[in-house]
Amino acid sequence: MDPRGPSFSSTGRVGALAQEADRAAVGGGRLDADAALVTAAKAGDAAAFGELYERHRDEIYRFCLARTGSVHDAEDLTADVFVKALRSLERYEQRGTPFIAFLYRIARNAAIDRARSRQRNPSAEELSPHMASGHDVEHAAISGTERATLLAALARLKQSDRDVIVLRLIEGYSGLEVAQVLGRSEGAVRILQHRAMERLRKAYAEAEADAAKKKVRS
Amino acid sequence: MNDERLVEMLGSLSHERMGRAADARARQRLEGEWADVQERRRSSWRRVLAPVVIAAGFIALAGFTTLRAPGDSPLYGARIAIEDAAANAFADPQARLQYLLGLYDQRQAEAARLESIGSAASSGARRIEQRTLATLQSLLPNAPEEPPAGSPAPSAPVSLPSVAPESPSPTAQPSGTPPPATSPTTARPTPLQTPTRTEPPRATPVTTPKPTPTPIKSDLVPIVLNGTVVDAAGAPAREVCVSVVAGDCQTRTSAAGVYRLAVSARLGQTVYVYAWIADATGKITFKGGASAVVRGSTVQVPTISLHPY
Repeated sequence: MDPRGPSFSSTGRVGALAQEADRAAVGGGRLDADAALVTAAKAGDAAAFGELYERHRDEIYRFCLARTGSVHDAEDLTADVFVKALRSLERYEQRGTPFIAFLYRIARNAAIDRARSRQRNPSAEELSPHMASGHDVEHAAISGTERATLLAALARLKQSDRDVIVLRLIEGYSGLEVAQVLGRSEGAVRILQHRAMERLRKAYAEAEADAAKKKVRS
Repeated sequence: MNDERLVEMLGSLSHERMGRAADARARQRLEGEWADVQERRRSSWRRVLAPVVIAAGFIALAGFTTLRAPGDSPLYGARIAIEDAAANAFADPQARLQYLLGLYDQRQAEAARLESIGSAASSGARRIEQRTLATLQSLLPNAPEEPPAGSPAPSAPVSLPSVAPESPSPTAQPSGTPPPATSPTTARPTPLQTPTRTEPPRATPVTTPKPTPTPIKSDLVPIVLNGTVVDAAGAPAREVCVSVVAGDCQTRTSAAGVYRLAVSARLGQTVYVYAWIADATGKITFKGGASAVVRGSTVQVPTISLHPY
């Protein structure tokens, strides 16, 4: 890092802003908790943007992982998302759109762009070698094959189905929060989630079958 | 694969974390990008501001040069146009008159300067001066030669005009005795000899002093009347109506009791200045006045002392 460049490490002031954001999140305003950090970042506080990155990096990474099915692609895509967010931070308006929704929108578009440029779909085999990248103890609760199959199944889903599954069942947002992020009604999210689960089940079965065929062939 | 198992597997994905090496790479990228964004933001401000600052500077310089252009400069016409247009910015008629008076003085001085150096532009400058004078004369109230009847008369120490008419009024008594107005009813009417009604003979004035000549419009010059109004105790009177025409409040005194009034008058003319205070109904409660002879463009009027009316 260039010693003369901006510091993304947290400062006392940003620490206070982060605590404020935490309090807001605990108070029920999880989606609106970043407002103070965003304001500070827009005012030129590099550490505030660093804190935003720290807070949402893994969430965006998981979103990208479900989209691409590849750890390496997800990591690159996550970095792309934050770079794009930084470039368009000046244009971001906090009114009505939480910062995380802004990041999700960028992530969706970035994933589409990447998919177009590569014109390929990931397979379970491609996913397997990267399994060890970020796993932890609980990750061991499912086998590497199951995880790879699940990621491949997620990657096969329509974008709207995948979004609602990631937000509701991986990130644990409430129906109302998902509705806010996706710009839909709460009822629509509930229906979408139900259908998305059916499609995921089918996609999982197909991915399993594909993996088995390829295993036999090899 | 049932839903419960699927949900359980999805839940396990929530513990996925970005690898440390990738995180370090992303941070490095972001730090570089942050510096670029900040630099772009600074330079974009410079890009936006630079033309604005240059244009503002150019306009200011051009304006300054134009507004200081001498009478023999090609910019003098533009200067005159700007100065004349600026007169419309004054909402207060008195302030506007003061401004125009200032312009008139300047233009008069400029025309005189050009004439003194024999500049070819002097005739143009003189025309502009005359045009300014004409504008002023059309705007300035003319100071009446005499105080009109029924107006609040100037009080002591007012020097009343010495031009009080000595001539008989048009209603002076006639020298002859008028004949009876109607003919006797008993008389036989003779159409040729006895008219039914006879006009009384006109009065013949004994002397016919020539009245003060009506001022010729071209003799009028713009002048400024300066003075002070005090109350009966000698303290400065504020917010007092002051005018050369009684009843027409042309200006009001300041907190120090001072007034400054622009009017049009002839040199040598005696001008009368009225001062009064009226109540809410318009009834005059205090009044006063003073007169002064016009000797130049600025006339110092004696202090006006108000007294109850």
